[in-house]
Amino acid sequence: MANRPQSATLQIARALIPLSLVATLIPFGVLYFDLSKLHEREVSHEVGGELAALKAVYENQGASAVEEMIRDRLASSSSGRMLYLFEDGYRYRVAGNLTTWPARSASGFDWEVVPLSRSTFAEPEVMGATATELPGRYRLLVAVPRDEWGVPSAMVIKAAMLGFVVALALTIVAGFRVSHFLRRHMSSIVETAEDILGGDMSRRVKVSYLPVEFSVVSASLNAMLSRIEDSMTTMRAVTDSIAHDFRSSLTRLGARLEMASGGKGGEQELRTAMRDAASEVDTMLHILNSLLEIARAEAGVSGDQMVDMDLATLISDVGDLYVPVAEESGLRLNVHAAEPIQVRAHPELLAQAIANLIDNAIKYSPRGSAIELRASLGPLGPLIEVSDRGPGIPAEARERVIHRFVRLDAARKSPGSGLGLSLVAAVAKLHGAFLKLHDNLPGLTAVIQFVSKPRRKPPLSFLFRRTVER
Amino acid sequence: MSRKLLVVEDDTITSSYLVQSLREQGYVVDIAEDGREALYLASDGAYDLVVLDRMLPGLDGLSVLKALRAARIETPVLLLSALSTLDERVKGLKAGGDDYMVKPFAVSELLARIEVLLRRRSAGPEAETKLRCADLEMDLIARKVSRAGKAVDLQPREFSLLEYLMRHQGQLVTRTMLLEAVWDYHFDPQTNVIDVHISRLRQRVDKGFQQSLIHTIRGAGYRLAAEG
Repeated sequence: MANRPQSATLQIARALIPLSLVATLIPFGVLYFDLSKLHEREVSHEVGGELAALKAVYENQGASAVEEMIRDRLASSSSGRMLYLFEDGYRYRVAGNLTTWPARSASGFDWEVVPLSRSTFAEPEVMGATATELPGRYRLLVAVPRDEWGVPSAMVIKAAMLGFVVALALTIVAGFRVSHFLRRHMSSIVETAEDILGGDMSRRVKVSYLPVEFSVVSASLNAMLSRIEDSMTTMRAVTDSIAHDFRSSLTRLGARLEMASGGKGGEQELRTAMRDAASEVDTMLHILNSLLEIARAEAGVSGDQMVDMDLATLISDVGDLYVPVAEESGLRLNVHAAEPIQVRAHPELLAQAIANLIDNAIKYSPRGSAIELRASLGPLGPLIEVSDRGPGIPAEARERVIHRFVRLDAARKSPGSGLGLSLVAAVAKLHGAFLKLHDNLPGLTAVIQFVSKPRRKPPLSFLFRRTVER
Repeated sequence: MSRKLLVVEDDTITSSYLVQSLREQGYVVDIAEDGREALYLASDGAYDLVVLDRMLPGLDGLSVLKALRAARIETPVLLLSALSTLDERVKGLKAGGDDYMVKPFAVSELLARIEVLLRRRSAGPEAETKLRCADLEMDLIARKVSRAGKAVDLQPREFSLLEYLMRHQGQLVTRTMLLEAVWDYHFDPQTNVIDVHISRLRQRVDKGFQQSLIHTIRGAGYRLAAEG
């Protein structure tokens, strides 16, 4: 029960209720405080006036006149809310309706708020009082109970309640409005998601009319969807290619074995057939391994496999492995690694990527030409170059050859799986680097370009623009 | 005395094929089909080598290996696995494995590696300063090589390559083993890089001598030996 999902309306309203309560209580509290101060001042003036009047009567006509006057006022109830205490020199009450002088007060004081009782058995009430000492040791006190100061508490409370109710109502309305707003803008995302669930992978969230917060979310969603669609397309292409390559290999293998088992050839012929079959299996294993390696590079490596290493050392090591191979094919492999270049990399995978590039260069170079292997620090960051003087790759095909299994028609007949460059690209990507193919005039230059500073997160505007353009 | 091997593999076709090949080589072979059985059989330390698959029902290969090492059973273990990532290889070797092979593998490769592991064990750890094969001599301290008393000039890599061959003389060493041991690369280069390096080494070591020491084993690898 406790974890049941709640509507945004309810949650927003719940969060806003205390706020609206505070927002209404504070002004009304201030108002109430000021009003009571105002009334207190008025009452104290009234009390002061009454006291002055009685004092004048005392001074002119004596104590009995004051006594008379108080009795009259109390009897006629024209005194209103005022209470009196008139005591003689023995502190005996001569007139008035209060029982005792406030305990800690002097005989004369100007406006104190003290507890006073109307009769011996009554509970003391809080009253505001002013007192004066009269000649002949008489003293006189006039008080008004706080309840009768005339502060309009009920009015203020009523107004506060009303204010709170209105604020509450507005809060709930606001909750509804916000959730409606959310739902309205969410709906385009939800609709897109439903379309995609329905199988239309090309659908994207419309970004242009959404408020910024939503367009950021939608732009990220769209980018994610595009990435997924790309992977799915690639996956399909790869599956098709694997199926094609494996099916043809398996068909040849099957045919070879069938011929061998049905034929009447001698042991020599059988052996040849077996050897052919084994080499066919080798080819398939090689393709499979390459695919696994690419998958592994694309899946990324755990961080502890990445080490700070020197590119110059790496390329001279790989060069060292390949110099004799190049010479065997009548080529020269020149390694240029003048100064150390530090990168954070996976040495094994990077070595393999370079090896693949050199393999390619050797495969396509004319005899007697040179292959240049170079590590240097470019304007963008460290880079590794492998240049050959072979036929190169036409500009329009350069993007395409990086994809898995793509082999240019000219290369169809030579050995190779068409996976070499896609492994290099995957390894480059793993390092936050990229693979670029250039014209070497003539020949091909393959560049693994590291981007030295970790790229900052793209600013929102970039995300936004890119997705709108799609 | 024939060597006793334990093959731990849950796939019966693979294991029977393996066992047949191993028996042909003259090994005495036991089979365990799951981790518990493997641990039970291997825990007395009577085997000379264990070929251990990583993915097993019950107790997985790495756990078996760790349990054995924890019990101070130092039998060499060759791990077999379909998990080919470097991380996995490192994990296997850290757990106490002596070698690691990725499926699918060639049986000749497996046999060669088993032989190396078995010899390594019997050779003992004492440090050698000189290696010898027929009239070929290698001084490990001076890093000098001579054949029939005549100095042979070698590049550092060629020296390492020859050193590996000499340390495993009489044994088959595969191209993958050489690439791993000499260059420390665990990938499979497209061209036959190792063949080229071997043929260069041959030029220096065997050329001009009647007796060849470096022999090619067709479809498998190389062997350094006084006799063919």
